[in-house]
Amino acid sequence: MNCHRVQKLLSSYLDQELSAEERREIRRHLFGCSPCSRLCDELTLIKDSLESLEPPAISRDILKKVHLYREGRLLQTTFLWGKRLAMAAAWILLFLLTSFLLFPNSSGPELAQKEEQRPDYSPLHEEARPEEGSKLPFLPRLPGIPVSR
Amino acid sequence: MLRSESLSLTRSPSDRWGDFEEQVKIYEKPLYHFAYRLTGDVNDAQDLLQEGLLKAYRSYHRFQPGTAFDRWMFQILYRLFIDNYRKKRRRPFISSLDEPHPHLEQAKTTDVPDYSNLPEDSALRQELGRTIQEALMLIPENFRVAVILCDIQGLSYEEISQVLGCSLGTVRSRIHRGRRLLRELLQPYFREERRRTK
Repeated sequence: MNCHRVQKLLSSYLDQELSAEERREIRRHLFGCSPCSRLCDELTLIKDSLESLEPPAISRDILKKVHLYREGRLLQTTFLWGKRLAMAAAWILLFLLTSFLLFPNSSGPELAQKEEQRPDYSPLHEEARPEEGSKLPFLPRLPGIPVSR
Repeated sequence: MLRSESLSLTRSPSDRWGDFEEQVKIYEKPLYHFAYRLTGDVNDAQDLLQEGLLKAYRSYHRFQPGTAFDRWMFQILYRLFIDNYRKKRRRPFISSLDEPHPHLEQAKTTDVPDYSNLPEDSALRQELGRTIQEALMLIPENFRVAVILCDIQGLSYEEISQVLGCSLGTVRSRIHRGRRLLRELLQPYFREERRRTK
């Protein structure tokens, strides 16, 4: 192995990411080559320094945003049910209003009163009825309007 | 990884929130460390982590139980960071050359926990951490993320290729080039250190 190849593989050598054969070859080269050996020492020093670094203390609640998100979601679900109920109430109200506006006289007591006021068909009007078997067209009998033939 | 696997398997699917919270508790430190080394700023790192966790929670139904939560989160955080980075690049930051760079200024006020009883050790560690962070911020972000995942998070090349969505050869090359760049940037510091110790 030449110096260029060894220097390229030095990091992998330090991280033990090479095969046993490659490691042996590099070790043999480092034994006899001082520039490569110096580079290996410096890279080892950097690796050791990085490994020894300690993290600074955490001063904030790192789950703060997650808590806020969860609270927001909980509130959202509560509001969602409230919204659904309000929507259902609004639809029912709208249905009632529409039916009242479209059929203003079809409410229960008023209809009963109308039924009472309707003129009764007395036997006097019997003559106006068409005879059985006659081919005359059927004319509806309306109250107060004489039926003419 | 084993802990996360057992958690995911024992919990019912309905208790997603509890499961998610447990996973975050287990991995919050490495995730925050990753975000911090990537952004180089405490506030940016916390923002990135909060944003990443929100994104992860919203798509948690897609997370496969039994797989590594931290690897999944690294992927989310890296993508978010790239998106933010591109947005920032479209709006270039203008500052005076006389003023210290914002992330370097922030790094000076960063509180590094005391892991040593000796004050000299702590000071040296702080200085080393600051210098390395400054150097990390100067190398391209695709080299930076590969080096962070390899050296700080201890992921294998195979795992890094899965997180970054690139080939093994690309990962190998990025790590090597990233370390070479760091070596060039940190050489004066190490030389000075060697001179001081002699």
